[in-house]
Amino acid sequence: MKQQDEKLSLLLDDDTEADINAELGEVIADVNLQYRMRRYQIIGAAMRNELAQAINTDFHHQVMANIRAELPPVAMQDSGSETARNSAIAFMARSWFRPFAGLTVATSVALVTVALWQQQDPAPKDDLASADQQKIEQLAGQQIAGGAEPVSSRVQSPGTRWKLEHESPVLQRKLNAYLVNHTEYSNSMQGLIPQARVAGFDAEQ
Amino acid sequence: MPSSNPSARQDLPSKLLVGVLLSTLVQAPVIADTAMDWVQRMSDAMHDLNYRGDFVYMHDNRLESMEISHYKDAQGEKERLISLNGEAREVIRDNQNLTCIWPSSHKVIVDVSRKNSFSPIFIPEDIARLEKFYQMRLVGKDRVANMNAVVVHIDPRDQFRYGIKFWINEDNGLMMKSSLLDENEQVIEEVMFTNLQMFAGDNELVIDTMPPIDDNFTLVRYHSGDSSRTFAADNAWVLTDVPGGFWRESVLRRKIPGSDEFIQQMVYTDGLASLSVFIEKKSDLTQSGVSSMGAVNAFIRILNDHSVTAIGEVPPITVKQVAESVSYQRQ
Repeated sequence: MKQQDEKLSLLLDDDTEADINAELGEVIADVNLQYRMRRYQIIGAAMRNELAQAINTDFHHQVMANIRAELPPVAMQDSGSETARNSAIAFMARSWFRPFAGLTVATSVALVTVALWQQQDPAPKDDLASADQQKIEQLAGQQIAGGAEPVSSRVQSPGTRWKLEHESPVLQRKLNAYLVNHTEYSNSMQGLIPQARVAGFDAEQ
Repeated sequence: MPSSNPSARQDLPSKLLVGVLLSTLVQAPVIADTAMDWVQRMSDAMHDLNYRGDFVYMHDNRLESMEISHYKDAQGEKERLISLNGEAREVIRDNQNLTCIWPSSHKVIVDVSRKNSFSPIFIPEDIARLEKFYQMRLVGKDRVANMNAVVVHIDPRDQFRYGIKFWINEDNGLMMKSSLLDENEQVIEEVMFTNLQMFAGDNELVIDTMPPIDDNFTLVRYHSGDSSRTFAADNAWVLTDVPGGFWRESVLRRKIPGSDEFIQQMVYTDGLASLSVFIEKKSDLTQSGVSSMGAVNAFIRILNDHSVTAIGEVPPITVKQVAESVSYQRQ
């Protein structure tokens, strides 16, 4: 059991060298995948302004805080050191709670701290890119209850290769925005070229 | 000369039947035999097959190398594109999300992916329409990435669209190479596989290697559209001079975050080429004029207090004509 605990602990510490059995690895991979996917989805929702609130995007700390809070006192008393405590956390997270791990992640996402945030964006109404920038900067500046650091949300000008009559970062961003939208919503038969164009952004930076 | 032999006439139906059957048997291994058949087969293969390969992307006298992985299961298609030179760039797409990641500079874009946008699926009506504006022909065979390919040349019949050349894998129908050609048959953009491997249907690991996003990532947002919500399109915006063969495929109206303004996108296609028209309130920084990136051209026009931008992988003359034909006609 101790050996298994160590493996689980190593896994939680992201030690990829750990020799894990296939079944355990598969389950954990699923959980990690769910975690990552949820994170992508939340980031996407925030970026699309589908969340009218500021959110705590630091799911990892949120999940770990929940697990720590749910640890039974006995397990904590038995562990005399921080290492043992971490090992217990690892075990709880990966073994006892294994069947519920995906649910825990999902629940943590669902219960993620939400601070009501009115959209009082003073961004110029006629500038698509600027409106985005201000909104994201507001999100970045939002203090999150619990002390977790949100995903940094500074906006940087992407490098592109648009040939313009007059150099303009705003126009570059706008054309990039248009091209991404155009690529997604058009259905042209040009093989991989449309996707390659999008992946090719920023090559000159 | 018709046969005058009665017995020969009696045998004719059975001989025809045998002939047809033999012909069918002989032709059975040939899955596609016309240029359009091959294009159709390529479109299906790009959707249905699981593959991973490296390809080069040439544009504007630049050359980039990329890796693509494509996987399809019951949930739909997944695709990952990684740039192999310069800054690492990654585009991951499934039926829900389009995620663009720049791991080294810690930037990410996440957007809604449009279902079935991996490549078009043609129906017979499309083929008839396409042949009105393009001439499609098989021009021979070639070898790409050590694989045999059939070469299809698609010539536009007017100046409003580019030509396309496809090298299609003879065995599995995948696109091995494609070139966009201008009116002088010069290559404007080109992609070409340098190696390609097929995967069995149960090998999902082809895709599931997303890089972790840490807390220092920068969210770069290219569009502010709330893609999952739809607003009624403003049908007063009309295009009066769209080049022949282009039809309106879709119209979307999205709200600009943080404002009460909308941006409207109208997508036009002729089945092979496409362009979008974006209309929004103009800003003080809006400038009219032409822009280009590889085969993509854009034309921005100021129309009263709006900016009208036509953008697409079509010649400059097309985006200019389309943008200039936009008007607002109250019902």
